[in-house]
Amino acid sequence: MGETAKDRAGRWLAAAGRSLWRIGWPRTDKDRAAVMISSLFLHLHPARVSRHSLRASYTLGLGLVSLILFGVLTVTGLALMLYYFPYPAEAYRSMKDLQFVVTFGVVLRNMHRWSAHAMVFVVFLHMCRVFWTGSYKPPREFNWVVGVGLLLVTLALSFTGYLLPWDQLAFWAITVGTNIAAYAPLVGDRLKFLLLAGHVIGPMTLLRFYVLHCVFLPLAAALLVSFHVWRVRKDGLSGAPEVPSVVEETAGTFPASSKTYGLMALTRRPSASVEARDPRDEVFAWPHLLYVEVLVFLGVVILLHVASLLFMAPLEEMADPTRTPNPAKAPWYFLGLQELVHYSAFVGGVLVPTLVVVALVALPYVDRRPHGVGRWFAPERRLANTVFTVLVVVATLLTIVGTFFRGPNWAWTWPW
Amino acid sequence: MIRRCVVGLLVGVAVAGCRRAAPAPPADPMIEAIRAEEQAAGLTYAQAHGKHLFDHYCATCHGEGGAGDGQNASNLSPPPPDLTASKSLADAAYTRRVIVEGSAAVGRSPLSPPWGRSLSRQQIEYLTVYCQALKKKSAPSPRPPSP
Amino acid sequence: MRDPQTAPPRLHMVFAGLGLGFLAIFSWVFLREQGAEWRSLQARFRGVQTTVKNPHQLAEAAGAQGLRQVWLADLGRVDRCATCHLGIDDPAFASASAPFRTHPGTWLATHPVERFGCTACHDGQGEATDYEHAAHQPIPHVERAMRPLETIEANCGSCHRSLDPPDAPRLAAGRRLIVESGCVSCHDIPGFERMRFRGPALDSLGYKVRAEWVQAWLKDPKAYLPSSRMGNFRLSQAEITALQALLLSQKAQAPLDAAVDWKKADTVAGRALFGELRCVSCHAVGGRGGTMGPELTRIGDKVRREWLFSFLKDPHREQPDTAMLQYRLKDEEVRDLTAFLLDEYKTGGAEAETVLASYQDPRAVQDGQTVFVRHGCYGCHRLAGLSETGKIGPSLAGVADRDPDQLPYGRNVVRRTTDNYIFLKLLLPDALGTPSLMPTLGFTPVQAATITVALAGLRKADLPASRVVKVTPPDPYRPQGRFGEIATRYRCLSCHRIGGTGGDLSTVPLDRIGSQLQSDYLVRYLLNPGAVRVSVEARMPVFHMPPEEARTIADYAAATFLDDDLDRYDARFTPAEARRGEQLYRQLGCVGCHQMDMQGGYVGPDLSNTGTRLRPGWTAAWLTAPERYKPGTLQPDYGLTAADARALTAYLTTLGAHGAAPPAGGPAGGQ
Repeated sequence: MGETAKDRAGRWLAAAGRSLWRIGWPRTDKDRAAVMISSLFLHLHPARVSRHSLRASYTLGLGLVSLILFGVLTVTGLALMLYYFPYPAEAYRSMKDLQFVVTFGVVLRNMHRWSAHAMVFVVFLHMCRVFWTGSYKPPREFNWVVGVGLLLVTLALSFTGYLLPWDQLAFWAITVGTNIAAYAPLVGDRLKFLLLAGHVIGPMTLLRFYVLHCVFLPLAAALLVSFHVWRVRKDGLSGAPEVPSVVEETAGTFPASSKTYGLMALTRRPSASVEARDPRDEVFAWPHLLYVEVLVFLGVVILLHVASLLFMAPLEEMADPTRTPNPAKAPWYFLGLQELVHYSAFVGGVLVPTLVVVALVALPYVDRRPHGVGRWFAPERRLANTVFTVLVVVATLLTIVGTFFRGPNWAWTWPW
Repeated sequence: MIRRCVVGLLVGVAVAGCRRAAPAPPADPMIEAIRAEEQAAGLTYAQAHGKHLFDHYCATCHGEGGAGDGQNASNLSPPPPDLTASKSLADAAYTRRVIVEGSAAVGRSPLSPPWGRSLSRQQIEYLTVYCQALKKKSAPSPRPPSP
Repeated sequence: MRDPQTAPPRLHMVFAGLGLGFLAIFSWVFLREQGAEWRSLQARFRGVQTTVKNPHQLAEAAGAQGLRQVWLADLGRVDRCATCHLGIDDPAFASASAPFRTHPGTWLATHPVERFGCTACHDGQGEATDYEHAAHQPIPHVERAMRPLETIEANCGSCHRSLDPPDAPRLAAGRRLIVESGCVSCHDIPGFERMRFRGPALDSLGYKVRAEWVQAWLKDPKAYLPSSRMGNFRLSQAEITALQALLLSQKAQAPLDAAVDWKKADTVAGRALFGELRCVSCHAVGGRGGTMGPELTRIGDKVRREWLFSFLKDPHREQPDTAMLQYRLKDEEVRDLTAFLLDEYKTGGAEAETVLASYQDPRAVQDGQTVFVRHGCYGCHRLAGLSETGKIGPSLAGVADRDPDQLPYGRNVVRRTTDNYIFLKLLLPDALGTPSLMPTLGFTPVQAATITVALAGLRKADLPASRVVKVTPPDPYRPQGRFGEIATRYRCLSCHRIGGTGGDLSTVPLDRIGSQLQSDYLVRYLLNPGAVRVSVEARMPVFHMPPEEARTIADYAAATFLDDDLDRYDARFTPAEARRGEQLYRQLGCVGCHQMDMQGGYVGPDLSNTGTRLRPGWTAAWLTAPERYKPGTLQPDYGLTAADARALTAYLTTLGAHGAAPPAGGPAGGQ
């Protein structure tokens, strides 16, 4: 009996598939580990993860959401670059073209805009989560510092992107923002000059912000993100659980844990993530982690689309240096600072931002007690959590006041 | 707990923001002033322009209201027709022809001269529109001559 | 028990839900793009197209598919209006419904879409491809929503800077109002650089007016005299008192000291003289008459007798800038006229004048000077010892581009546009919440709106020069020599135009008058000006001119104000030509407007004496192209051939040729 054409085609397809997907659909534990380890994109994941870190209520998936937003921003941003001229009037016209003629232009721009805002927000929440669960404690001190760097890069990305539409909103937000920077002693004016490539915003500023926004800052972000994720991979997904093991409840149902998982077995302790845990407390990343990741990705993308379809990214009149809106407001994430600047230029422009950054960087090296890691609001860390929470609330309140309660001449107004 | 409060506050602010009552549409007094004048005369933009031209070029014979009672009408034989009762005005092409080529072109007396070379095409349009409006209004509203 | 290493079924449900949601949202994005407003409109248009066009035309017409735009690189504009307004330049759609209807009128013939786009005239957001964002109605963050027809002429003014486009009457009216209201005295206004507005010089006011009048006048000029050009400066009582002191102290030049016996004044003779001199051509009384000079209705309450006598005798001595001519009158005649004016045109009977002491108080005078300067009175009025110090108001260049959100509107609840701001400022300069020195000029709302239309075209000077329609006026003409003296004395240029200079009260510019009129006729006319056109109200005054002056003018005109094209005309007509001309005269219906032998209309001049009045070259040229010599004339252009014009000229030249009296330098009476 000869081989039918159908068989041959099937065989050919299987061979072609194997060239791309060596393991095939994993059906054994060995394959489940191998599929993660042998793929460039999947091997950022460990082969096995603890059940604890998979729980949505623990991490809230904020880091993952930030990463997804970064990806969405990269893709939409690259698409937007196809239509954008970094030159004053042309830049504004690009926005109008995106809105009125470019196919999917509206959705593209809206999505980039809302993703950017969402990323600032989510990255901030991510930081709060890490603090409140004590996840910055050894051995993750340095990753916290990298995270602080990422927060700053995210803000810088958002800030530089804010100018690019070249409308009144952009122009005056950046004017106010760079004026806050100018309050720094000694270097303030020079810093502002460096940022603006001049004393006032002009074509050079736009070009500078454009290059920063599209080249330098994304590269920096990508590098830091890679490092951040790699450290997470090495140090474990999140703080070690101090919760009772589930082993007792499900004893006997786990497969024998005498296996080695590829390279994982070779890694030296204490850096490997699966270290010092009961193997039965863990599940394979394939499919448990991967599946959740796909779901979160889908969810985020759907939400972004809905937001982009329902809410238009703001676009005001073309930037006009001779027309100052009253009040001129910085981007919303700097409105807390602007509110402080309103009381005292030095406090808002210099003291507070410097102190916050220094404190954040120094935090894991000051607070080294290994207590309360991996739990929300651990009672052992009541003081730290209280101080941090108060700071977060104050920052939030200031931002809300600056955003909604400030009218012309920065006078108090009710938003209704 | 505190986070919940913050979220609650945010939601509260958002709800308050949405409830802002839509203010009454503000007035445009400048346009309204012009509209009021046009309404008083009962003329559209084009007709108003036509009226200016009519008053200048035509009214001496045809009269301010087009009734054929201009100050020069009594000197004419045949006298100018009463445009407000004219049936031929309904035909825009005919009206335009009389304006452009004169009444002689449609087989009438030569007393209504041709204005086709003096007026721009736009002015002829305006004049045509206004003449047709004369026809439609049975009683032309007498208006004091503008200063 | 399920395999713990496979995902829980709950997640499958979530996955299914999210997957469906993902598909739904993607379809939404696609549908939204496909269902764009302009796409459905274009589909509708293709339907309309089949109803208004035959198959052959349809095959020729380009299909309405895809975005259409006009890109005006020099204006930095992209107009995509034609994406939906697909029939805009196609006359076949004249009766189609919006948005496919053909553009009304003939505007696109003079302003083709591919050169001017749409938003240059209409405003709105040309980049947009949907109704709302195109700003057909005002929307946030679009500075210039489409102008309604009522104000659209403002945009004509953006390009047509100093030439009034013939088809924009409201713009033209607004510009006229700007000139008449004297806006240029306080503001620099682009396009009005050459305009000047002068009130009377005040340096001898102390001799001229009565003290009560100054008080009443300064309080509210319009209340005193509704036709006043001067606005209400909203002066406080203290300011009025100070100004009064200053003004009454102005005594630069005493009135002529003529020994006049006022007892002998004859007001009846004065009244006759008032009519004969045709004073009402320039001065209104009781609301009727010309507007070049001040209204005389209440002059008896205002001026002193000695001053008026002096002024009527030699107006130029007192007011070198005045438009008023100097009649050749005897002292008795001036006396009678003065007495008539003061007696006839007054309201109160009180002759006694309260004498104010305050104007002798140097401190009050000093205060008055401060007030005078603060309110910028020097913009219109000359005062002894006060040099001009520029214009008090801000320049209006670019006024239409001021930020509407930063302008004051007072308590008026209006849409924040520069239009509304200018309108309110003109109407209620004191009610915008900021102190203003601008006088209340008493505009009606329509006048204010009309001026606004003229000002709203004053954009920042970012228009490329190739777009600007601008005619630079020639240098002002000044009559020279003996003719200059006479022309200055009789103020010919107050009414007539020479070389673009002068007033427009007269319908006849004098640039080629020597080639138009026969010299002898001109002399006769100057000595006794009659009405050439009966229907025209303003008349040339009777100057009481000595014959040698008339002769000088006629000779000067015959030597200077010439047009060779007219003079080279071959005036040797044959009788056959004249006969054919007579036929033409009847055929064309000239009799409808022109009198001849007491027959015909009186719209145009009486032609009975054309043979002695006009030069044939002019007659022929005028008949061929009247619009060329006098835009807006009531003389129709019949499109005559040269031969026809010649025939008519030949006929007209024969008229009155025999009845003309020999012109000589004798006294008037040729008519």
